[in-house]
Amino acid sequence: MIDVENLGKTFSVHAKEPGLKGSLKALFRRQVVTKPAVRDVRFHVDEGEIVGLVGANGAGKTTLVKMLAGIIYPTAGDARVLGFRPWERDNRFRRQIALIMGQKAQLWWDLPAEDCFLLLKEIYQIPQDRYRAALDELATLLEVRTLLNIQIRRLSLGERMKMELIAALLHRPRVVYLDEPTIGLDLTAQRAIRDFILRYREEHRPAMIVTSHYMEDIERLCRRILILREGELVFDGSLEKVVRTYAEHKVVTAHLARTENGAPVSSDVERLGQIELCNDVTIRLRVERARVAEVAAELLRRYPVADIAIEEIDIGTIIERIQRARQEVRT
Amino acid sequence: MTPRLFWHVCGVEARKRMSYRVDFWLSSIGGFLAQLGVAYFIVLALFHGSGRPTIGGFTFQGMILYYAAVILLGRVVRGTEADQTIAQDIYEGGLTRYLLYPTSYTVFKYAQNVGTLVPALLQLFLLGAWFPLALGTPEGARITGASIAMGVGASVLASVLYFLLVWPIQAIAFWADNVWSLMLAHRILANLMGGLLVPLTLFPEWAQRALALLPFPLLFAFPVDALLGRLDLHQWLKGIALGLLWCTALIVIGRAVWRRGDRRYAGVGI
Amino acid sequence: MLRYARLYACFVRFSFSRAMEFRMDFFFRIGMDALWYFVNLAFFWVLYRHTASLGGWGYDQVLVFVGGVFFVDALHMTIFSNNLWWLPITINKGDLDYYLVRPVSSLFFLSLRDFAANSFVNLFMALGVLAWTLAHFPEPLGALPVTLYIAMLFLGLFLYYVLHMLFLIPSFWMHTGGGLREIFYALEPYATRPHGVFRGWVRRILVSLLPFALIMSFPAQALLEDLALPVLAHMAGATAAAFLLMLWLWRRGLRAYVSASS
Repeated sequence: MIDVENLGKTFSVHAKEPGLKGSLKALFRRQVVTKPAVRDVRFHVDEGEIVGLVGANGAGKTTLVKMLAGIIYPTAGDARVLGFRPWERDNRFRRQIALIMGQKAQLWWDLPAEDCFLLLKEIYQIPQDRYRAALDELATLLEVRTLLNIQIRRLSLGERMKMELIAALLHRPRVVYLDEPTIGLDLTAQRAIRDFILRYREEHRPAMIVTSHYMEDIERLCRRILILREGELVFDGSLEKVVRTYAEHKVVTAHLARTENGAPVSSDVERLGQIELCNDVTIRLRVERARVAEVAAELLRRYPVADIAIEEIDIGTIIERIQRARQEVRT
Repeated sequence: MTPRLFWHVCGVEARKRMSYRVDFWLSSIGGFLAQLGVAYFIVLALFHGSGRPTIGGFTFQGMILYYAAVILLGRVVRGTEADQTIAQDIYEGGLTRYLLYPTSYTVFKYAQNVGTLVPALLQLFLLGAWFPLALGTPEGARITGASIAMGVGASVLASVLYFLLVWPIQAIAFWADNVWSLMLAHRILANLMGGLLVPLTLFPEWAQRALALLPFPLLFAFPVDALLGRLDLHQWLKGIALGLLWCTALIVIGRAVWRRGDRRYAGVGI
Repeated sequence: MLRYARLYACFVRFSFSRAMEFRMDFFFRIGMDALWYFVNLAFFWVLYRHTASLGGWGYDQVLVFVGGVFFVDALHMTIFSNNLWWLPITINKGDLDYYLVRPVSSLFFLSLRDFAANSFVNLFMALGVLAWTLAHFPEPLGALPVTLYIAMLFLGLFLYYVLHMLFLIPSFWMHTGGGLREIFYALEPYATRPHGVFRGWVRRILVSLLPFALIMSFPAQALLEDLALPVLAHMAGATAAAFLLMLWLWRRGLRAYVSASS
């Protein structure tokens, strides 16, 4: 449903020297700096698939999504969504997609939600019976049936996000882009929205691309993730594969019993693994998978250990490390 | 865009406008009276100073009626506060939402613009109806069913033409960070050349001939003259034809500007 | 006092820096103001084709008046207009808190912080027109009256600011400042047209209750009709009264703001 081939986008921005003199100079001549936001990206998304798009701020996630929604033009490469080039903005294409941005309200503030939906019904030319059915279903699932007649500006952030979701899904899009759908929401609202997205996928099987900074969104919603770093796609695969490929270490934590010997000598501990924490009550080490048993035994033998724990590195940390890594980790 | 959607958008916008508070109505009626007051005193001084019974084909009463009509109708042609919304959509990223919709952004905006006219239209009827009654129909003016029909037709054309003039100017927001001054410049120029500041018949002959080719007189002077029965059918048809020509040219220009600007749109933030 | 001068210098520098960031707007604005000057001159030129006098003002006299109008307007645009445009919005959004916590007069801060660097260039244009109209005047104008004229224009500028503020300060109580602001803009032509054209009670109001005629017409009248002393006294008195009223209202407004916000 979504096919992306070597897609790229370069922005040019102006730079100005500081101070009044720089300003005057900039008035007549400006320095233009080009900034590649997305470089040579290729991937494919199928029907019913939810793909997580992850990356640091400025990695190019939103730019990529905007290109696939047809809002901005690429400067290189090509993409097909439902067989259309998004930026040609064919009406047949636009009737089948939706973009939801958590950072930006798309509904009209002064109107009650249902008035907005009626306008959307006209915009997308949704027949009355289909509109009713869709609105009923969505409003029930999201538990906002009683709020439909209240001005959007008077709703809470979580309720507003739910209305945005309804607005975006009324016309039953076959491709849905969700850009930070849970940003700024409390935990209950985040969970409600995630549950809703999963149920919606079960019933309607659209292709979805989700970007988020919350690892929980990604872990709960997506089986497959794409990782962008500085505009380049550095990983495309399943979540488990990320752990298998990149989590070469485990974390071993030993809680020590009180003794008179004082804190362990860190140069001794260092030989066992990479120190994350080392004081007179706790030793926490990052240890290669193969050496975990050996290191644990060594710790127990050498120190007055009261309790010991062995854990996987959490997925957020792994992804963060991939995002920051300098060397190429493309698989 | 379907006509149904067009009227729906108009309706939504009109409802928003009509829900404005009392102070909106007071200020727009107060503003009208203040504007007409200045015009009244200038016209009075003008006739007093010149000592002639008619100036530029207007009697004193005729010119007052002209000013009242052009101020009220000018608001209808311009729409209220709708001047800046396209540029704002561009640099605040509001355009994004419309680009997703399977409908034309420009037509959508024009429909909204028509919706915002409703208060101005009401004012035109409420305030405007008094003047012919109070002043009688001055010499040279003849308000009839035909003149009202011609006035309505000319006003519709003026409204579309005004929007089409503003549209490419606002699209410059794709390049510039602020087009407020450009909009104001357009407004100032249209005020003078469209006949809002001074009736165009007061201009020297050569200026009138030059103005007759420009779109500005079609915005204000033309619909008012049609409404007040100062135009015969031939003059009216000529104005409409010129207006349609300008509309076509502006659509071509606007589309070209828009197509180039659109490629620069980044939707705010990367 | 010195501290405020230094602070103002800072505002100016900052504004220049920012204005140049929006460089297209910088040039647009110069063009827009030039056009405004042109349209105003054309307006009177067209009218005087049909009459020798408007409300007792001849064409040459009106030109001197228009030169003064441009000068005061350019100063107002440069120094105050951006600030005053934002004032009701700042009040209604509750953004005033930010200014109230600073150890600087809030009135000073809110009236002057945004110096319009892009209008600054137009000040030279306006000065040029003013100089041209004065030189063009058929009778010789003495150096002293001309100096007094310029001084009175500055007084007019101050009165303009004070009147503008009087229309904005009610935002403290009204919660939408838009309406009164629109009325002020609608009343501006009563200042930019020679006050001789206005008659009867309207004229009496324009020199007393709503002293718009004092801003630009009175200085020109003082210069052209040699009525300097009474006109100056009238103008200074009205300005002082309006200023005191403004200060009083501002204080009451601030008190209303502080007690209303939680």
